[in-house]
Order: sequence, then C-alpha cells, then structure tokens
Amino acid sequence: MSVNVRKSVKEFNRSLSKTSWRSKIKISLNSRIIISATLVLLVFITLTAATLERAFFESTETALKDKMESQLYLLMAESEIDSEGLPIVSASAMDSSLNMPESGLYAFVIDDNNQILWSSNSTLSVILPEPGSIQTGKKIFSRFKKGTETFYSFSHGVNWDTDNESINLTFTIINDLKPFNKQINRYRKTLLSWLVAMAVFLLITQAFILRWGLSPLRKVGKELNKIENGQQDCVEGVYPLELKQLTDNINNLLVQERQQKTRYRNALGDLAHSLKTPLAVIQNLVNDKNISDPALSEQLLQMNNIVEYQLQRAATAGSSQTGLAIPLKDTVEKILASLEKIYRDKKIQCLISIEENLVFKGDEGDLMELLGNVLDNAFKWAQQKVEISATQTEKLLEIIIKDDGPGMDEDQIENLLQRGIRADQTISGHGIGLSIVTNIVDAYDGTIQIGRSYHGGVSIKIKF
Amino acid sequence: MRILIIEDEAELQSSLKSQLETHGYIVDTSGDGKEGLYFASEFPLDAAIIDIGLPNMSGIEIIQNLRQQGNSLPILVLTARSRWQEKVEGLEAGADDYVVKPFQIEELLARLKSLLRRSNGSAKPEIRHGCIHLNTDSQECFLHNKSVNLTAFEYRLLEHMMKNHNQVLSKSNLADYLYPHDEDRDSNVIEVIIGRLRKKIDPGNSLNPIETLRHRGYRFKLSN
Repeated sequence: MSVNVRKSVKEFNRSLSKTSWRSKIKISLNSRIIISATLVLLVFITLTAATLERAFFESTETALKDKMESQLYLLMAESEIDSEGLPIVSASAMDSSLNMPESGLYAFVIDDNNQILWSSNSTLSVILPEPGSIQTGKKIFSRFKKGTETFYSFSHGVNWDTDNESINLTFTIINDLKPFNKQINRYRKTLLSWLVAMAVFLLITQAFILRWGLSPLRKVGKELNKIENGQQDCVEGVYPLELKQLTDNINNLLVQERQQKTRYRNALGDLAHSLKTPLAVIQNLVNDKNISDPALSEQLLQMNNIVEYQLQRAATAGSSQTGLAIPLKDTVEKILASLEKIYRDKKIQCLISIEENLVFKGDEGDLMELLGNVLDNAFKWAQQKVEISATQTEKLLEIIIKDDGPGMDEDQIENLLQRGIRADQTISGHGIGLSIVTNIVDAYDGTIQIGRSYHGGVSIKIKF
Repeated sequence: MRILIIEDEAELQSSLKSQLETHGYIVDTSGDGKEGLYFASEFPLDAAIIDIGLPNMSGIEIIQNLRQQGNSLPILVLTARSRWQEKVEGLEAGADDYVVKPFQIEELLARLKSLLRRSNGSAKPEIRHGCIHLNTDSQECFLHNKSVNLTAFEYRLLEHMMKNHNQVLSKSNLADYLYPHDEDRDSNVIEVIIGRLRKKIDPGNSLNPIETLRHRGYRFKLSN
C-alpha cells in the first residue's frame, strides 16, 4: 500500500539539459591549451628542422663545390700537354684519392670531341657516365644519378696554349655523394635528437607552467564544487587579480541570492501576518458573539487553509545549486526538542537513528517545514512511540518516520496527499501539513511513500 | 489565574481578553513589546500569551529577556507566522507552546490550561494540599472532598496562595494579583477576604491553613 509522487517530466528535462551541457564542454581548458601548444610546437619544430637542414645542406653543398673547384684548379696546375696534345698529370702532386680505385673522387680531361684524353686512376674499375665538353671559360657544377648512386660533377672548359697550337679542354672532377650524404645524415640525426629533446623539455616546462598558471582556476573550481555540495557558503580563497573580479562577483551573487530569499520569506511572513490576523479577529468575533453558523465557520476554515497552503507553497525554496549542506541530525533534534515541549503531557518516546555526517542539500527552512509537519503529525497520533531514521546511499537520502498511532487506510492516504483535504477535522492543520510536505518533496524532485509501520501506525518514507 | 496578553491588534486583544475573562481568568493586556516585557517582569502572573510581531520589541525578544531574568512564567506564543523554522525559533527562545492564528478559542484555552497545569507540576487540573483541593478547570474548592462555596475573589486568592504553597505573599502582592487594574485598592479588603476564606476552608479552626506573618504577609501552609 503505497503512493508514489514523481515528476518524471522534470527529471527528463533535467537529464536532457545536463547531457547537452556536458556534450558542449568535453575538453578541459587545460587539455585545450596543452593540445594547441603541442601542435604549435610540433609545427615550429618541423619547420625549424626543415629550415636548418636546408641551410646545412646548402652550406655543405657549397663547401663541396668549393673543394671540387680547388681540386680542379690543382689538377689544372699540375697538368701539362705533351707534344701529341695529350695531358700529363703528375701523380704525386694530385689528390691521393684520385689514385685510389673507387675512392669516390674521379677526374677527367676531355677534348672538344668529348674524347677522354686523361682520367684518374680512381676511375679504373668504375663505370661512370662520360662527361661532355663545355665551352671555354664556363664552369658547371651539377648533380646526376647513375644507377642507384648520385654524383656531383664540376667541369671547367679551358683553352690550353701549347707551343704549336691552342686546344680546348674540359677538366671535370666527379665526386660521389656517399660522404656528403653521410655528413647530412649525421647532421640530421644530431638535429633531430636535439629538437626532440628540446620539444620534450618545452612540453614538460609548458605543462608545469600551465599547471602553475591554472592552479587558481582549479582552486576556484574546487571551491565552487564545495559551494554546490553545500560545504561552504562563499568563495573564500585569495586569487590573482584576473580571477578576483570573477570570485567577487560570484560571492556578491551568492549573497544577493540569500538576501533575496530572506527578503522574500520576510515579505511572505508579513503577508501571512496581515492576512491571518484579520482572520483571527473574525474567528474570535464569531466565537465572542456566539454566532453558530456552520457555513461561516466552514468558509473561515477554508480561507485559512488556502492562505496557509499558498503561503507555505510560495515560501518553499526548492533545490538550488547554492544551497548549504544542512546537518540532518541537528535539525531533527531541534524540531524534536520543540515537539517534546508541545506534547510534554503525552510523554512520547522518540528513537532517532541518524548518523552525524548525514546532510540535506537544500534550504534549512524547507527541511524544517518538511520534518516539522511530518513529525508533528507523528506526535499527534502516536500512543507512545515515534521513530525517525535516515540513511544515505550514493546520492539518495532516505528519511523514515514511524509512529504507533492508529494508522490510515489507502483512501485516507490518497486524500491526505491532495491539497487541503483533512483526514481528521478535530486535529488542526493535519491535511494542510501533509500537502505542504508533498509540495516540498516535489520541489526537490523527491518521492514520498505513506504506508503502515510495524507498530500499526503510519510510516512515511521520503527520498531525495 | 492571572494572564497577560501581549497583542498589538486591538480588536483581537479585546476579543481575547473578554473571552478569557468569561472563562474566569484575570487578564492584563499590552499592545507594545517593551510595555509587555515590563508587565511580564513585574506582575504576579500565571501565564502569558505573546504575539511575535509587536511594536518596539518582538515577542521573541520578550521571551528571551524573561528567560534571561530567570523568569519561568508559562508562555504561549500566538502568531500568524506558521513556518516550522519560526515555531522552533520561538520555542527555542523559551516559549512553552505555540498557537497559530487564526485559532479556535477552545484550542487556545485547552493549550493555556495545559500550560497552567504543567506549571503546577501536575498533569491533572488540580491543586491539592492536605484535605483541601482545587479543580482549576471548574474553579471549585473542596474540603475533605466536599464542595466549598467560594466567591470569585476568594477562589482566585486561594488558588494563588495554594500555587505559592509555603511562600510568604505580601498584602500588596495579593492585592496586585486580585485587582490588577485598580490603583486605589484598599489593603484591608485582603484581610477581609482572608478572614472569610479561613472560615470557609477551616470551619473548625483546626487546620490553620493560612498563617499571618506580622508585617510580612500571609502563607498557605498545609502539609499533605
């Protein structure tokens, strides 16, 4: 036998808004900065690596060209033309690599007709493309491929004067790229290892700087969480100038919200006073003048119930992101102290089973109104015993209040949960009390179940 | 029984006063917080009905002040503010019970009687000392369980003295209690009423329940 009151539409809307809110904020500020900084760093390092490599390549190539030019001039300086018009190069004077087979350095002297007049000993077992003659006075530095190997060649066309005649010769130096490539690769490896080390160092430094720089934001976040969980009522920490304005504004907003709530409650209190005092005057006049008109009394009662119910409903704050965590046991004890005073003659034995750390996340006034009404009913109806217990499982707070009174049947329970219907006209405010409780439970998206306790009385289970 | 009503709404105050007087109570009234506190502190009262929203001093402040003075006067709060937070605040300040406006006079009277009974240390509407006992609900006096016919003044005086059993009560205290609103009261009237009471509750002159203490006043002394 139980009645559930649930606002599924509200829950659905809430979960929907939560989902869309979460989907919008997937990446944290920290991750965004780290990812973008890493990308920028990668692009920067890649461009730097490419530029440096290009510069090194060009400088090494220029150095090689200069070297080959020097080797070429040396070759020309050590060359003579014999009587048959053939060049003779002194072996001792030339670069030793030219005399070593497959040394990688090769030299040729060719005439106008592309005929090789002389070649260095290093060319003996190597098949190289035959160099062509070039115009006198011209110098050509070029790169070519032969099979899988790549070579650089430097040729210079000269007009050589002999005793009898003047002949056009082309001196060519060929250098294979193995040592050059080795040098470039070595450079690349060194460059890469240094750049990677630098990138790692920069990323780690950047992560530390970010961590340090964003620590006030994280601190604000933690404080806001505490405010949301009701563990503190304002942002308390000291923050850098850029955040101070924000935290000050948050604090102002929180203070304003609480002040507004207090003003609103006070205004409702004044309204209650100004509406109910005339009602009390009318009620007393009716009693005083012995006017026994049931319709008048009924209308007065109805008016009072409407005023009472609507004012209580308007005063219900409901769940809020800025509500404080109200210690449940303290509030229960305060209400029980008051009820034990009011029902002193009944000598009710009250058993409390609530852990000290249990809290209600919401408005203290709402909690007092809820517990006050339920416990007041329990005290009114109980013979000897009232039990109140509370448990918290994950995010669900469950409060159970039982009495050993006469209990209620299902129809009575249904009626009680509806606005303003009274189960027992002889006990004032009974129906209004429980419908106010239902309103508060609804405002916190909770559920209320009314059943029978094992003592035979009423058992009310409220879940938030 | 002498009751103080502190209520600023004149119509309600006067209506409440007349209804309580109809039920045999002596009623003092005040519509101001500070004046109400003065009356509650100075008058020999049996209970007070205090509104929360009052000019010059709130009902809560009056209750706190009285309790700080060590005054244990039974207090019933009468207010339009019906939220539990306000009820707890009033009861924590030291009030003994709470009635929300508008109210049925029967409910208020029942609560008031309950408070008065508690202040007498009894759950029953009865004050008993020896062979004399009073029913505070019906305002009747009994000697050896036989009804004794007392006038309203005689009953009030006896009830006040029996409630303050073994305590010396001066003539002015008794006069204050009986004639709260009469400035020109004659203290000889008290002597006359005491004399009449003695004859009614001790016709054989064997109990001597009311002692006269020269220059100090009277004391009700009758052991159970």
